[in-house]
Amino acid sequence: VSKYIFNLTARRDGSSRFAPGRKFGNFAAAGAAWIFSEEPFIKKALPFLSFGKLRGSYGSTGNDAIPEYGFLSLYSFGNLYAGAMSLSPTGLYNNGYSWETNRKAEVGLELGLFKDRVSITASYYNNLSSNQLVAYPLPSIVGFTSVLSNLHAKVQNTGLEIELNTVNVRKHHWNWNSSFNISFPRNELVSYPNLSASSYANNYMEGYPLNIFKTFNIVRVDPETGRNVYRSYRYEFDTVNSHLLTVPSDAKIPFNTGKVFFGGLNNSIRYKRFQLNLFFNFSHQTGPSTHSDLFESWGRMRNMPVDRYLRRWKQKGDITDVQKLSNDPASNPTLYSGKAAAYSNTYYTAISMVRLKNASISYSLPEQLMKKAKLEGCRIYLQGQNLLTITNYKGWDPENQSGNYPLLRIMTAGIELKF
Amino acid sequence: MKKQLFVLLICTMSVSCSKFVETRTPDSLFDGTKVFENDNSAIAVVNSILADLGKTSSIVQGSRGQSVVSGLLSDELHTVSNFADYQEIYRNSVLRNNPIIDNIWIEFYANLYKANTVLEGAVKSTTLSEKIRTQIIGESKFLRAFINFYLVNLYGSVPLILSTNYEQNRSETRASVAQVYNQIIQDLKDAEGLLTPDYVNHTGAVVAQRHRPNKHAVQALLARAYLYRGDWANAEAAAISVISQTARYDLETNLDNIYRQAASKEVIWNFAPFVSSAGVNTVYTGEGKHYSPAILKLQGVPPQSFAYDISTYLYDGIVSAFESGDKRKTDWLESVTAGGKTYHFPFKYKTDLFGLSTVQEYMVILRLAEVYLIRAEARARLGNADGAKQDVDVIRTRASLAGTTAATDAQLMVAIEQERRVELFTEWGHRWLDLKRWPGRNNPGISRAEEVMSVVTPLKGGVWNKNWLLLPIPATDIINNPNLEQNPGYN
Repeated sequence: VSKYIFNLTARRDGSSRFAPGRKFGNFAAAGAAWIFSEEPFIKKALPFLSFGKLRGSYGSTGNDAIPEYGFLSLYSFGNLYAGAMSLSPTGLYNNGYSWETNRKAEVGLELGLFKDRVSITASYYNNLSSNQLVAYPLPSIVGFTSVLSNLHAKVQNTGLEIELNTVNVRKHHWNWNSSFNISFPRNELVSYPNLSASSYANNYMEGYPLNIFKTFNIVRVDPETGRNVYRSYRYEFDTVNSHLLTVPSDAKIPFNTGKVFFGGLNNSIRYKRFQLNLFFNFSHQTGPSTHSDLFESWGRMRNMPVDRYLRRWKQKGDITDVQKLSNDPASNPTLYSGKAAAYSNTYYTAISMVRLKNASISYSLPEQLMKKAKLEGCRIYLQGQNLLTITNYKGWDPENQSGNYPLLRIMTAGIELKF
Repeated sequence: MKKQLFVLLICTMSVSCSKFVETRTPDSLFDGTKVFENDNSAIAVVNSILADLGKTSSIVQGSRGQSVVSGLLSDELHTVSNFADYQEIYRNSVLRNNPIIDNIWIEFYANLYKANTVLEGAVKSTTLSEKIRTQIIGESKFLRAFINFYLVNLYGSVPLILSTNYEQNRSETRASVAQVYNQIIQDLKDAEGLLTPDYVNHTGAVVAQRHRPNKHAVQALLARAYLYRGDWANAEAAAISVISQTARYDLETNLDNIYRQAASKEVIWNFAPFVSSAGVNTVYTGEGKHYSPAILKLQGVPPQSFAYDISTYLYDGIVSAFESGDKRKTDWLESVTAGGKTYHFPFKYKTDLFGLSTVQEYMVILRLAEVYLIRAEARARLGNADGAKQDVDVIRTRASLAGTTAATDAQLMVAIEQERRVELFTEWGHRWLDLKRWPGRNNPGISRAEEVMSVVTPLKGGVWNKNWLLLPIPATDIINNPNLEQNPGYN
């Protein structure tokens, strides 16, 4: 058995998707691992350790996942005009882009304990991507709505992943295995030169994840008018002119809607001919408190959660957090104050959940019985999906916040026969 | 202790690999670096602007075209479509991101880009013939002015895009209305010096069909631009330079000929027929397809389920605006009674998708009648009441009406409004743009549009506000260009 593993790669990649002079990129990677459980002094000192491996890698790779011919200035043939051919440009001409690079670093520890009845894997990664190839969005006044280019941004993805597998009971009639995993992903826009002048000025912030939503700041519901009072940054603090607020640059408060952590726990138990499987998943994140149609109340006919409906502003002097209802979508204050609410800080909430995602129980009939019936096997089972959810979330479904259908609960009962 | 070390090195020589990653222009496309090397491909870029605007469903004709959108915004058209995009426009309650309104902006700017491409390419090229170089620069400047004219009238002050440099243009701010008009007039003056009085085709050969703008099309648009700016003397002069071409231009006695003849003497510029995907010229125009009474004739019920097409009909106000005996009322209106209600349709274009008529028709962009009315208005404003009356009467006589009784400048303006309304209805949004540029009849402190729409909009089920004189800019453009500001009322 090898104790030391080294891996070195160097590559020069060429892609026809880039312009001459930009076609080639150099990439390299190095990795090393040490299976320390093979070392005699470890075997002596830690006899319960059945497997131990420490590994690390560092390297870079390139990405050219973009359409073909993008760097060429091309015209396509269109409809004839008065019998003559027509030509129009297929896009904005940019031949200045090249490989997107991803620098990946990872360290990991793999352990097997007590003759591998317990195994643990933990890994930490730190990936930095730069020169991302994107269809950079542009205002349509330039003639097209995007141009293919490298983004001079640095985006870092870091994360810790832990996996634990245990064999709790291993006997002739009686078997119980568990596995647990948890991930802590993190994403950050490390740097973006001149972000405020770019098309992403209203979407991203340096030092924050890419999946943030920048929201308007609702200060309170005005007890006099019953409308949301937003904080405007362009004008004075606390303006009631809420229609000024859908100016995107007034959305200042970021919410990271990515998952803070997520994972799962699976238990598989067999007793004689009975088999029970239970799989739970869990996660924690920030997300929309309901789907936006239920949240905004801007004069159109909509359903809304009862608690929001009951809390709404009704008369002068009411102090509440839900603005008044209206049946006049055309009036400016209603429209903008209402619409902006779904892009506001009060729209986001912390969402934690644990869900019994899958449960199944089955019974396999004894073999003697099968032989008589000339069957190879017979199994009776009952299984269910999304059976139980524990959550603080008031929206339709903590795993599907978009406002479509919540995840379905599915129950299946069956008999499986093998001939 | 056993040690194993694996080292794998792959060395590649880039020289030997280069040829594997070389690319050439795909066969289905045209190499952009060669477009302006020869006449045929260079003018093909101008052709693509004409073909794009001239197709039956474009931002200037058909169910999302200028006459329909402006007609719904003003007091010309009703709709039976219950689709929100249409209802918003009809009730003067357009919301940001209305796809019809966004698309007008996006496609106009996409075609401006092509015009700027031609202007840059033609100047740089050393291999184009002088004749075609002159023609395409003239045509592109005209088309740039034409597009900017509609942009500034629909959206107000707009970014002035004069190059293909997207790095620079992407942060362009809105130019003032005056700046936009100065550019329109400058482009038109340049084009006037470059284009010939004769109508030519894509090779520069003289042809009868009036499918490409000539010098007089430039002058007609110039007259309109001056009129909109209140430069009455220049408007009159530009109009005269068209009207004086009596050998080339004359009003049609048979009103149908205007839209049915590729070389009608009344037409200053019309689009070539749209070529269908099967390669066949369509006989109908976008207008004929949209304003078709055929569905009502065939089915007898208002076609509410139709998203856009065949869903508009004329506002009662415009129907009753015709004087009795007006030939235009009999020739240009069609009515169908269905469900106890009489619907009137614009019937300038009679050929439709349903084959009720199969005569070839052409979408007319500029015609002589408008130029007469431009001169009439310029003259009225200049205090030449007799001259104004003469021009109004030219139009009235052709419609079998007696001369106008208007005598004072104010009466003449009323007469001109009336004549423009019934002569140019559902053509190119004339009514809507006119209402917006005229001062109020009773209160000159506000626009005529505010006067009229404060009455009409509530009848359509909307709430009038003068912010609705301008349309919203696509919200994505505001997001992607932090220097762009939205029109008031749409934030």
